[in-house]
Amino acid sequence: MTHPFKLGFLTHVSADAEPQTTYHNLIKLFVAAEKLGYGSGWIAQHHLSRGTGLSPSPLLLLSAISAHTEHIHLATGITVLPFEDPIRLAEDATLLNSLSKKRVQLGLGSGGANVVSFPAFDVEYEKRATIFNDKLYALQNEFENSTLSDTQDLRKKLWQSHSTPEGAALAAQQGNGLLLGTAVHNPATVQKPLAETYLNTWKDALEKPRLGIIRAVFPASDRKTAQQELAPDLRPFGDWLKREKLADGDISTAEIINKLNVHHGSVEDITSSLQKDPCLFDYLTDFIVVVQSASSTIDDAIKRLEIIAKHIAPTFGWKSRSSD
Amino acid sequence: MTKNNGRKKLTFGFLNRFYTPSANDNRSSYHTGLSLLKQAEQTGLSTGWVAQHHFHTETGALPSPLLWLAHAAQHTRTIRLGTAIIILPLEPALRLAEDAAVLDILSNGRLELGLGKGFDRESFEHFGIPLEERGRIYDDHLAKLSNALAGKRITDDLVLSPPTPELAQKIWESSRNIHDVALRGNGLILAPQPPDKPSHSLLIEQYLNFWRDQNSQKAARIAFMRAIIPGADKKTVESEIGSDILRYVRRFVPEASANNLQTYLKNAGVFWGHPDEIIEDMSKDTALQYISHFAAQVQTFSTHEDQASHRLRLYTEQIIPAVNSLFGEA
Repeated sequence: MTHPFKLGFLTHVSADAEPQTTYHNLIKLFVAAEKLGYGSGWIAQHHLSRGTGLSPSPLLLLSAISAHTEHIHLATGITVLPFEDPIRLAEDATLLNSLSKKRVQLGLGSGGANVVSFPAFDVEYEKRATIFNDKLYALQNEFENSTLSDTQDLRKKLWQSHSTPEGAALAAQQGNGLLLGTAVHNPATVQKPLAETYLNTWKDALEKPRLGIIRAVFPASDRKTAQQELAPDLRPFGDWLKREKLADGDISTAEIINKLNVHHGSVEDITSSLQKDPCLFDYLTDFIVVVQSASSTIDDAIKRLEIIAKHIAPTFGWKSRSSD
Repeated sequence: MTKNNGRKKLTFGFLNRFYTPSANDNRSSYHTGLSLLKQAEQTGLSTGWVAQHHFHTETGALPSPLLWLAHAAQHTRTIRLGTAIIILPLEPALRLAEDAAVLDILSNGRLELGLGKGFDRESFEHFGIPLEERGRIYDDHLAKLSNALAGKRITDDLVLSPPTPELAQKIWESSRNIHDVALRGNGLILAPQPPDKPSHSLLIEQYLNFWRDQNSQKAARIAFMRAIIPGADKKTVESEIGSDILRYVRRFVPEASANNLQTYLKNAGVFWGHPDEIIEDMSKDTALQYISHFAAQVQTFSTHEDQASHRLRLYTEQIIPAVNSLFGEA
């Protein structure tokens, strides 16, 4: 029914404490995930978030993490490419690939969710798709034209995040991975067509397509408890869903959870809801879980990663690296 | 100008330019850099500085100093982590501010942010930035960087996150525009001066005068970065580093000859020889009494790790105590 896949996690580095403690906990999270057999950890990039964003520099954070880990892949999910100089990005990614013995995965996006930050970086929001493409080609050239193995290697470690079929096709044409799962994208009506476009466009016979699908997964004793735990953190998302015209009027926690496609509850609840997810194990090569909401503690996050690795992912055919 | 006037106690550091003759050996140079930094910390040096080179120019293997220091910060606890320097015109200013802020927090406030204009034409061409405009771009990027680090609004109500207001007080500039550096309240990094340029003593005097006018309540920060190559004696050291020095000089003076090696060494501000000879030579450098920090570079292009470690030990065990007793009492 399902094929083997890699298990990863993604974090937004939410400010649950002082920045220094948050970074220290981030390192702890990667160390714990590596021990549990996770193949990759993805760090999102958030710029200038009015004092709350602690992750403007995922590669720097991954560089610190590389000093404490040996196996887990160090990934950006995603880097906002229009704000980067492709040469500097290639240099940073290469150095991290050297320091980490080729563990870098580089996720790239056009920053559609960062609309307020564009003027600060002197980039026109309306031109972000064109700028993304130009910088993607420039970045790929840096990797293709290098004589260094740590640089060349990165050409096969690129991932793109897109919300349009053109974007999904571009990722396939360029031989890059595709990342799906932004909360605002409906799995059946948006993500599934993107996944199919990507796989149908893929032509490279020597390399396999790479499809990473991101899902919020919140294990708890039961669904009701999970909803109670999530309620305070989900309130801002209700307003956001209204702004995105995905909801209107009074919206309940259960509805928000449903709209955001959060798999929650007991192991059985989650297993059953993952089975019903229309865009998941039939398509993905990498299952990437998000287990933190704004007020999650580091211990909550590690516990949830453990439940997923021990009791949920194996049901779908996942094998931990340590059990190989 | 009186001794120690307005300056801090003299501290000592170490500068690594990550010289790596073959780019294929970059990985081992990062490893070596880490073990030298740990040695520097264990022997009590206050700061480990690293230089930035793009595209392996001058065989420098480190294009991303802040990323390397983020890694190195996890292997050290107390030593301050400096850049000497980051080529500011080639950096997107706001991205640099973000990286510096994250590193300062990751390292428990240990970052010292040294900046320069750069000079390498090849690097600027690759980035598509006109070398001739580097002065203007430098000023523009420095203003953006300083504003962001100070926590000022960037656009609308957006500010740099994470906030690190102290970092704005830890900016250094390697620049001959002494007046601007003092005006901005930044530290001054003095690299060796070519003989046709104003002397260090003159630059320092001007800087301290401007500084006192602008920042009377704060101590001035002046750092010297010099090559210190200790060994058995002058002749032995000359044979160890002679070919590297000629290779360096020939970039600017293609006809440079081994017969003039000692002149080149002096012009490049190198102190070399037996530690006692180096101490003797340094005691004659009157500019040293006005600085707050001295950082030694002990490697040339082809220095091996063991040799670098040995020289670093001679520097920390023999040269620093003597220089400190000559110039150090603040």
